[in-house]
Amino acid sequence: MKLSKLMAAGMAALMCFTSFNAMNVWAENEEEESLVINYISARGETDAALKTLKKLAEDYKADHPGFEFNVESIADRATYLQKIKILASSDELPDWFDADPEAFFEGLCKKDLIYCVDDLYEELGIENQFFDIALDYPRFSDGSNYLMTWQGNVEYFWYHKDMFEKAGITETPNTLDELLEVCQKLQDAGMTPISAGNYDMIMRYPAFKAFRLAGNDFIDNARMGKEKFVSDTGLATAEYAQNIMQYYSEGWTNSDATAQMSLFLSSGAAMLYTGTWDTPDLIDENGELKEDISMFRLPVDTEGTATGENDYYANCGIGTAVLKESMTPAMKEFISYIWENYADTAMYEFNMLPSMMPSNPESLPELTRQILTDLENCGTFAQCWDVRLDPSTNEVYRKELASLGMKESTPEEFCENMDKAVEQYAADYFETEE
Amino acid sequence: MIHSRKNKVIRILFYAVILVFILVQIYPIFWVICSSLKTADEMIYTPQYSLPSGIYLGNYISALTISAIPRYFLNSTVVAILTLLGIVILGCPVAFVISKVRIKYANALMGFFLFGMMIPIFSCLVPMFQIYNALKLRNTYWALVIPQVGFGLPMCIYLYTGFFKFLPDSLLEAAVIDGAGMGTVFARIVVPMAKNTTMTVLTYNFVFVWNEFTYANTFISSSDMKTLPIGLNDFVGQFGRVDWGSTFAAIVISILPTLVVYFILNKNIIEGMAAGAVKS
Amino acid sequence: MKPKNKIQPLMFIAPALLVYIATVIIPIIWSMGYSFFSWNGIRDMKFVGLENYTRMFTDKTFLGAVVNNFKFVLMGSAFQLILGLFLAILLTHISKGNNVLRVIYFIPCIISSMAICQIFSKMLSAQPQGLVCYLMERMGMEPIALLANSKTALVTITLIDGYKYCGLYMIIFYSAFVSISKDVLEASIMDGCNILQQYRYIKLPLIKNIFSIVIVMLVNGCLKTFDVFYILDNKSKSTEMVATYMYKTAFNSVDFGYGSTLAVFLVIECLVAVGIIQKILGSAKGDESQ
Repeated sequence: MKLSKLMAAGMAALMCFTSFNAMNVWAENEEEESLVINYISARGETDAALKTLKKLAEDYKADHPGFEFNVESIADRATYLQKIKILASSDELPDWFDADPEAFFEGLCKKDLIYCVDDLYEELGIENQFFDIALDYPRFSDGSNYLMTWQGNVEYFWYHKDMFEKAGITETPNTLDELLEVCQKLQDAGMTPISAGNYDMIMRYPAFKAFRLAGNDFIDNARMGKEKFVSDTGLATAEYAQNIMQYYSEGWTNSDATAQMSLFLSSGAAMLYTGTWDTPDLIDENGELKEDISMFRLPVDTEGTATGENDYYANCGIGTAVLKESMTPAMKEFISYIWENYADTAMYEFNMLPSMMPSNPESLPELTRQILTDLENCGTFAQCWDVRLDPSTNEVYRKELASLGMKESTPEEFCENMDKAVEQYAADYFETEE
Repeated sequence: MIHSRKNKVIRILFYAVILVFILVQIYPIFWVICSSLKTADEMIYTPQYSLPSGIYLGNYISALTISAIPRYFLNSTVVAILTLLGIVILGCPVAFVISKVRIKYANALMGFFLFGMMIPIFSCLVPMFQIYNALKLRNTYWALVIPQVGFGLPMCIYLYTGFFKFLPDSLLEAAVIDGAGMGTVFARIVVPMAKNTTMTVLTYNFVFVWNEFTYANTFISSSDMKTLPIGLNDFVGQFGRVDWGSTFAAIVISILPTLVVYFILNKNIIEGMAAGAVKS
Repeated sequence: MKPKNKIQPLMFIAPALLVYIATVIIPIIWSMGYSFFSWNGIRDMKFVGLENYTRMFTDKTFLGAVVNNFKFVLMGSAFQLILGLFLAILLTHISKGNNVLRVIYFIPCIISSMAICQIFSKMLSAQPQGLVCYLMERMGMEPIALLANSKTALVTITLIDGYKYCGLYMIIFYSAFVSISKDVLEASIMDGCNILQQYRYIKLPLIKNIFSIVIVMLVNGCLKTFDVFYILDNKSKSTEMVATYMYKTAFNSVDFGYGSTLAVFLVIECLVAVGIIQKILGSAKGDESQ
């Protein structure tokens, strides 16, 4: 009988694989002196920072037998966060994991689970080697820092020079209002002004005006209800966001990072707002920008002067936290080794801008030097709203922003709904700061 | 069934409709294959619906080097086989007892099992994680098999009881009179006769088990234990940038064997299902 | 048949019952417990009684999701039922290449949702232009991004979801048709039945119980629908389903308490819906058999 044969085969396979399994389980309870690090990373297998870390771990292993660096890479962010949240709620966090300085992670730090990175760097004596932003970007508003950051990124508006010319635009916009004018001119000339799709980037736009009017104070206060979104600043920034979002490429709510780049590169849209992690697509084989592409930084504002031209969006990518209970002397030694070699390995072997200045930057292509300079000179870097808001309000923000951008709601409605969300949820996360 | 010549026009029309459906069904797979053969530049600069300019195998090479697709395939296969076996072996006897053996509470039991159909799996994720973690089942095939068997049982029992309803009681009674016990009746008469339903259950569950993502993502950490749906995420790069070329190549690699197996088994599946899906 | 003793049936049932209770019942009860707490995974749990439930009925996003989900159940089940049935009927009338066709129809079922969704999201994209928008333009229509537009997104996703799963129902219907005895059909032809009459009076009534099984599967599946909607999320309220909202609440907002409350709602909703269907179909069947 076929069925019985099938079952027999199945049982055999079953037995075979259970014994096989037993060998495959992570050695979780192994109590050896040698260091074993389990790291769940939000970075993909192809990510340069992760490749650098793996390479350095491999080198380290050569003189430290028994050392293990087990990486589980979950590149899809939503999937990654789901996993981390389940692990956290079951007290099963790995030795290393990635996080943004957002409210949920802040909760973990408040529970005293994470080793303070400021202390760590001081003990290792390396706190002065980083770019300022590498230390400040992951800082919570109370001034503490729990994340090691690996990258330096600056965000620019990239644009096609020839498309600007065709639309009769001779100068890149200096102010936010000029940016709107440029968009209008491009649209009048029959071109799509902005390629949009990566929602992380789209969520930056509502902060532009507010950042110029009031710096990061606006979001820092508004997220806790100390200031209302229904304020002059809030309404102005929502209105500006709605204005500029009408120039997005068609279908932006359902697009993605790959599509927005593809649209921009194939001259389907004149501008693209994204960070320097995307430069590999924008440069030629010499490491310089492709011929008809150029860039400008976040424009300033004539009405708001809280921040100026040296204040823009820059970030250090998702950071890495180390569990307090995993911070042994051996761990410190490894981290120290990593930082000693990190910058140069990242820059020269994997072509990624590290969070500290690599040695002899003069040899690098001009574009890279420009970005490094901008990283170093960045005054106040703009805070991402989606990182600052509490997780529940953030969900509301994502939805309300889509409605705002598609003109299904007015700036007033947007602000009112944001206030309502903050009122309902923020207290769960920020009450201790009062 | 259509014999007469006057129906020739209808026939042509009929084949035209079928052709349209075939095109629609086949197009996605055709599209994936085409895209997997495109170079990175082609992906960006040519429209998505254009054909590849040549046969470029770079995506396949990177798909096979970046991620361990064959390994994932093996894992998926093992999980699918164990799960399907578990569902059928556990579910079929229950359905038999519920519909053919006179016991108290048969209806209540049925209702109790059907209740499971209504439960969305996400609602159980946090408790399940805590249980499997405590039992040290994370990173084993069992963590994927056990919950899927549990959640697959209700539909399995539902389908089997639907069939057993039409199995004549007289047949079983005759066997009992001949001295057969319950076990014998079940093994010798009921199981062979239910072959068709078994195939339905297997097909239905295979579709869901093969694509299962949530448990695999939650309970599996080691890359040796990843299943195919999870493995497809290996090509997501920094800030959500996806290496579509490699992803599409991986998709092609992962579905071709399934299609071949299905193509071979297909005849048995349908025959099995057809033999007695309905008896009225 | 009658069991010899009380233990024997128990032996048939016990293993399944144990697995079922351990994997389904215990976690869901555990999870229901959460619905009375406010818990974000890191803080201590706080007992809030029925607060989460009262919150649910004033939550506009949730109420919107229920309405969307209801629309989807109606459209989605009807679409998949009709398409599955139609494909099955087409198949029964083909003698050659039938085997190949069945494989082809089944392809979308075994491709992972992620892949299917990506294919469609590329095909339906307006900028960069996908196939559908290209065709729209060629036909002189204004191309719109069907998935991004909140007016068309729900219908579009319904079609995609139906496309993915219709092969499954096709197979179930097809095997039902094939199993109808040839004698009955030949007799009906002798009686002068044409094809339409054959379906109306013989084939469809004969597979009545398959219909009720498929409808239960469809409605239940559509109520809990998750993957396609989650992957093709266009951030607008028009495509939020109860299950996607529950997932986002639990794992993006880390509100396990409220997330569990939504799960409880979903369970009750499914119970009621399936109960109603069984009642309607069951009584209809009863009437006819008398």
